[in-house]
Amino acid sequence: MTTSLAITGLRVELGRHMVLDDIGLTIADGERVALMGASGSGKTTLVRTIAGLQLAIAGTVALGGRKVSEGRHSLVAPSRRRISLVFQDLALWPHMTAVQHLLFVLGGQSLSRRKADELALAALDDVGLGDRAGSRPAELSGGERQRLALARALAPRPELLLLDEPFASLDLPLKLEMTKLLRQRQQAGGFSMLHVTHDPLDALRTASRIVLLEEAAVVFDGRASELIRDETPALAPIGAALREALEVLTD
Amino acid sequence: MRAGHVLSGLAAALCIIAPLVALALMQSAGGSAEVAPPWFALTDPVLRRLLAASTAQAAIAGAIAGVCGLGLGVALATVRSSWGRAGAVLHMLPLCLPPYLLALGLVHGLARGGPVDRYLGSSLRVVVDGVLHGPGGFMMIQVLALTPLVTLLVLAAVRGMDPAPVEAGALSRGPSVALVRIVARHSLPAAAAGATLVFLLTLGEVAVPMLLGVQTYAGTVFARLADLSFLPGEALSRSLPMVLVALAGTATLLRLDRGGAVLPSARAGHGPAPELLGSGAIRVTALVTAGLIGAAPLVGLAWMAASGSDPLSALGPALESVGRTLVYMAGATVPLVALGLLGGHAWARDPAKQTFSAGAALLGLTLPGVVLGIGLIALWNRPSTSWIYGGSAVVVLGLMGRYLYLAQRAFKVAFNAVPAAEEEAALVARKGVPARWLRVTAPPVRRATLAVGAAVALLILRDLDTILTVYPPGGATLAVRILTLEANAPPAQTATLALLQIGLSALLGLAFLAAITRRRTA
Repeated sequence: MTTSLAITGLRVELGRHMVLDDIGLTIADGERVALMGASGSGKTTLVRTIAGLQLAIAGTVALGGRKVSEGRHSLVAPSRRRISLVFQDLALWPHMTAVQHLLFVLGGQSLSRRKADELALAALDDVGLGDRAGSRPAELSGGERQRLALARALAPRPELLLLDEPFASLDLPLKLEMTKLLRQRQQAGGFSMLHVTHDPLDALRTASRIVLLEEAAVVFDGRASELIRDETPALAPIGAALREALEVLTD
Repeated sequence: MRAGHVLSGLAAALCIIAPLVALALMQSAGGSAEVAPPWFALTDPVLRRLLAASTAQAAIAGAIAGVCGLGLGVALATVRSSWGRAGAVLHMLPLCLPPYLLALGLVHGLARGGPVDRYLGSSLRVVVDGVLHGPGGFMMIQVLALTPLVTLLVLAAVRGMDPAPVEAGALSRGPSVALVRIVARHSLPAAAAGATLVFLLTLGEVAVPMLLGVQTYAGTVFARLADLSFLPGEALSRSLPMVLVALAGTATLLRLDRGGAVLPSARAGHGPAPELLGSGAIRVTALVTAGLIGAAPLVGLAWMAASGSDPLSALGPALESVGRTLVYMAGATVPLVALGLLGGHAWARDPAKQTFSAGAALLGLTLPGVVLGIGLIALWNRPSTSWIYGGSAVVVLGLMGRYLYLAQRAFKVAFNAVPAAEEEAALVARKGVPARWLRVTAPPVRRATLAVGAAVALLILRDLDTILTVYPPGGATLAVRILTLEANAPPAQTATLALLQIGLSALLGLAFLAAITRRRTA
């Protein structure tokens, strides 16, 4: 199996604060990984560094076997990394309609106007927004905005999808709906996924593997069942939380 | 809050609405057959043609300034280069000066008798002179003087952006597309508001066309009405077209600024990180070029001052006008800052009630200074109020009417960045109004208070049209003195006074920059 993402020795500073220290992480093609950890543990910084929105001070990031950053240098521009990111606050463009969002991200792919229109409308259909193509973000409900952000991220067919806690503020029914939709789209698209979340429920529903960050370092990397059974004092609380989430899902 | 709205409304009524009402009432004061009807200027073919030409010139200047300011504002907000910042400071300098001084520097400093004349030959001088002394020269000066206003508004809009949508754009399409399709698009309302202001200020400009010999509508209004020998009703009929345009401009600006789109709160966001948007070499080059163009009139004035004999002899007599400038400045700045603080707080905390005070105050800014001045004369030129009309008070009232909106709007932006809950906590703790203001409300906007004070003082220093219309005999400011001296004093002496004015503006500009860039220590 080839690797979608390979990170080695990654160190990132924000100001004078070391946010990530000697991080190593690999994700196989088509693998779904949840990145968990307390607030301030460096989850968002790691995702932004993979995307190229944040520069590291050491280490390498490779995507699909191609090195995209090394040390302080970005070797491949963010827009050429074949990744997509769903932002925490969605980062929709208020002046664009739903279909314009899709056409904008498809604009870099040298498609004919007709083909781009077709793909954009199909992408909206895929997330159940086919009838809201002409609506701007302010005219969409919270759930529809989530779907639009997901459609925008998936339309360019990324090799790796990064999600930075996009479901953090959703109520439970909507969260279950979105995680289901995400899983469906991942199965259909076959892309790899790194999902930043602090919610064990999200992690269990969207990922097959969990990576736990604490104080700028990876402290656990394995399956959820292993984390639930792990009796290390530092991991026990998150294991217990996962167990509770599993019971909720089972119920 | 209620008191803030009331005070703000009263100030706007006294300084802006009452003069306009007095102007309208002059129509009925004549009672003779010679009274000009209010629509006289709109029906007279000569005046109508002049109004159309002036409107077209102002619209062209506004459009050019809008486009240039949009590009430069985006550039300034998205580069981290000391060259770019230096260019931006030089680009901003013309905004701090009366446009008249820029014309003086370009026409008399660089062209006539200046380097163009000396090194490029008299034939080219004739061409340059011909271009400058016409509508093209007038528009060029206005664009040079007022583009920085658009740049500043766009800068504020970009700095107030949530960076995430820009990152999303850069991630999917790269920096250049994100810059144009996301950042510049987001800044369009600010650029449009800036262009509208440039249009209105150009339409009302009096001094530059006077120097360049260009006939404009505002210029003829000033020439006809400022000598006070006009027919009853003529004041209204000649001012009416400009009042109507100002009303339309005010409505446009209020519409563009819905939801704070033009001047967003600092709490809204902190703008995109420049690193994300590429190296910025083109943007830095644009800023440096704009800076060099902005500095050209200053070089011209320095050339003028250095070329003549005894340039310093004008300084002594001018000290009196410097003193008067400072008196007017202090007299208007202190109440403007106080009203700005109270009114801006009320606008921020209860924006639903600001309709009248904000609309009226904005009208004060969009009205040509000469119209506001004629209104003030109509209101206060009577025996019982001669103490106002004959002294500094009428000048202070005019300046307050002109800049009331800016002071309040700036404080509104500052207060929007402070959570209202901080004041509500003090209210719940049963603190009285003075204690709440001194201990809770005012301290977070200390820097804003200094910045607004410096900015208002700077605007008063550069004001020419309002003061020129209403200043009492012997009450000329430095800017007015330079204007009157230009016709009958050696160019070197005029240029020296202009450089003195530039020095004063630079001091205030530095105070403003210090106020907005000083780091928090706590």
